[in-house]
Amino acid sequence: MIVYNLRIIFANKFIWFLAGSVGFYMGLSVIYVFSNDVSKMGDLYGVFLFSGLLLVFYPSVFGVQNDQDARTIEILFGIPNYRYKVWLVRIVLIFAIAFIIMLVFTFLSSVLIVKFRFVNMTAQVMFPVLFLGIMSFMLSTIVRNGNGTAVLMIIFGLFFMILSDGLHKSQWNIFLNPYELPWDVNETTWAIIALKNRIILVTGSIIFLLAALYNLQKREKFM
Amino acid sequence: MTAGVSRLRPILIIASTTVIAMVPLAMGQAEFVSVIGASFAITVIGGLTLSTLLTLVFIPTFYIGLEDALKWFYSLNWKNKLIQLILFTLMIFLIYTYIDKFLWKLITTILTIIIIPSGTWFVMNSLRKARETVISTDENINIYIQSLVKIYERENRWSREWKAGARIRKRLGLERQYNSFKDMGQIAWQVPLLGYIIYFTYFYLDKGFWIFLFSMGTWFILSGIWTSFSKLITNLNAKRERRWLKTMSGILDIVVFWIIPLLNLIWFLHKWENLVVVLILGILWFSGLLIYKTGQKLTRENIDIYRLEGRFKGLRKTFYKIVAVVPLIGKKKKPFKALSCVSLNIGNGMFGLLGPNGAGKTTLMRIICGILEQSYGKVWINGLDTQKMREELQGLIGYLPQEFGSYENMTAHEYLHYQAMLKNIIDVKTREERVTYVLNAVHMEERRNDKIGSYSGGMKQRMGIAQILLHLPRILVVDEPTAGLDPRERIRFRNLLVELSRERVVIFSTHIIEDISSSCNHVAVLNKGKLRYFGKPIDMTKEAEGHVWQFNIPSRDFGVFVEKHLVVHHMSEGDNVRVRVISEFSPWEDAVNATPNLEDAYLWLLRRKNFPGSVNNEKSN
Repeated sequence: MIVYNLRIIFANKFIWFLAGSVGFYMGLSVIYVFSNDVSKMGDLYGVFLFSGLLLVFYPSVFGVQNDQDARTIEILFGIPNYRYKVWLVRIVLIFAIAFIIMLVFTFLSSVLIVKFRFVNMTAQVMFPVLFLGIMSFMLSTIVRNGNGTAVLMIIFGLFFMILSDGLHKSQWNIFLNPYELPWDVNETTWAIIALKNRIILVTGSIIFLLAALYNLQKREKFM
Repeated sequence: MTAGVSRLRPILIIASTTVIAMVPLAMGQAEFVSVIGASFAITVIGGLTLSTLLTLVFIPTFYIGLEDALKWFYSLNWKNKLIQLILFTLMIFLIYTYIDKFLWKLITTILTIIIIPSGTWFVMNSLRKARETVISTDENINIYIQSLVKIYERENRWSREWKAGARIRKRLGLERQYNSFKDMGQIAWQVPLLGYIIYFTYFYLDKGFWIFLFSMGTWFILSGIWTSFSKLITNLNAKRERRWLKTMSGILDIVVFWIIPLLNLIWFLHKWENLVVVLILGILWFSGLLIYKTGQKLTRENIDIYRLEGRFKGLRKTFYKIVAVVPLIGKKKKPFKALSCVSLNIGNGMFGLLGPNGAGKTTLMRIICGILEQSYGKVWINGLDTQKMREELQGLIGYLPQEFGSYENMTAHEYLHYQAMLKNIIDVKTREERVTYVLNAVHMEERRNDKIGSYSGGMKQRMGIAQILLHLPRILVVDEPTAGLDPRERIRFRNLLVELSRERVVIFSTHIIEDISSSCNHVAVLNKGKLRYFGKPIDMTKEAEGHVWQFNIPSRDFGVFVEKHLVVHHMSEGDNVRVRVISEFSPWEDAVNATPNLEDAYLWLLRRKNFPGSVNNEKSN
């Protein structure tokens, strides 16, 4: 099941996003390796976050539309519990693959650039990646068009980025960087804020996922 | 509930009169009023509004939901109850240990009360059901379609309920009419309200955000009043054409819908002095208005977006397409009835659905398979409601849509294995056997390891059949499977379906008569969503008896004749043309009745105006 789903997920333009993610990571890593400045964890978090978002963007935004284009959607709707067996499995696989690739990235950085706990870093990066990835999947079940969803996600992404300036110390900041401790907040308070932020992101992801699965029940709108 | 309904009017009267009476005090700015009186009045207004909403909306809704939830919870076995109680206790422990603020404790506790049972319900009602066996293998399958109606683009339930009152008033003739100035008395109460809200928004409020919010409200009230006046002007003009009234109406329409929003934006700019925000608001507001007005035009003039003519048609088409998909303010969707009260009874064997394009065949098939939901009516499979037991019954059905595809980067072997897994064939050995069996059945075994992208159209069609046979379904539904196949392929395909129909129900749709005559035990003819015939193909010819005519007609008269009559076929014989015509009455003086064939009967059924369909259906059932 995993192998066949991977063949479907990896089809079409996914390879370009994967290449983009690897290219972005490699480019910045090379700069960091030859830089005299000791790299900050906060900066690395930003690099990994962008690479992670590139990895999940295409399959979560264009997943449903690819099935519509391949004219397989009606066949899939005829399968009992198609929401779980098809789309839930695929979305879980997308994030599993993204997690594994991110593990490789963080491991390489921890060896080549600066030593850090790479599993911990990967887990931290995956929270906003999960939130934004599932949000885009949910939007794709409402808009039912890959390009439209991509435009909406870019608008939302910009909106969250604008907000992150004002909310940089708040648990509500989607792009909260746990490795960038503000000078006027003590470590314990910061750890609590980061934990609450992660709980909010996971809760949001679960709600978006349930909403997406619910939207997939409205079969008439997809045909 | 009855008690609540009977208290609705007194509660609303008391609350609204008190709120209105308190408004002047709440707005008081004199020193002695603003210190105590205003805050007292604001508290009363807020408290009363909230408690009215709680009493009339929240508590009844929550109570009904809670009653159903408790009934469901009591019906669970002790294991499920215990799991939920443990989860609930754990969540409450976490909330009261880690959350400090009271408000968040309250919100998260309410969410826990809602999410844990609803999550359990969600899980229980999904995954488990697909594995249930609801019809035993030795039981014959019978599908009963009862008064099935399908309306596309139908409003959702919420909208339907919302507009139910207006519909009832319209049906009973109690709808508001604006035929004379006297009728405007019905909306007279809105004028002081408009005056008050104008004063409150533009002269009383100070903060930009609130001015913006209330100015929107003011504009909505104003446009509501104007819409009523506009109806009056239209009705007056219908009685007696007055050019000045028409011109004035046009000007006022422009003022209300375009000029007033513009004046509002200028006012915001004056108050806020923030050009960027005002520009963004302006773009949003005017885009909304443009979409709304264009949507109204598209609906009113019934414009076909795909057949535009004239200047800038490409640009207009793109814009109209955007307007068509915008919810609420965009183009109003026009409901379309695709199936109209269709009743059928289908048993084992080949069942053909015959009808022209757009007859409703695909819609009917999709509803049987649970892909679409019907608007009214029922589909019963061995007495089980397909709406209630969709997931359980889908395991019995194999459905091949008219236009289907597959993942072209996969081989037939991979694709079929993937489909088999989705259909719960988990055991590797069984799956391999089943894949080999279906590939042999459709003569595709030798192409097993080729990519689907390299197959011809016919091969892809066979792949589709192979895929629906994987779980050995007891009901096969195939939508126009022979369309686009060459004659040899079509015959082979038809024979395969006949072979499969020996031990299962096979429903297949077509508009090729020959497919029906050579394979089906029963046939239903659909046209424009209505059932025109249901019975045996051989009996269908009787329907056209006395309505098929043959005669010779001079060649010079044929051109005129063919435009007025349904000519099935014709052949030149010297100066004459020999014609075969379907007609209720004799179409030519020398015309003689001919023995109808299936094609004649089909054409007659599509042409016939008076249908004793219900009688025929009852007989067949």
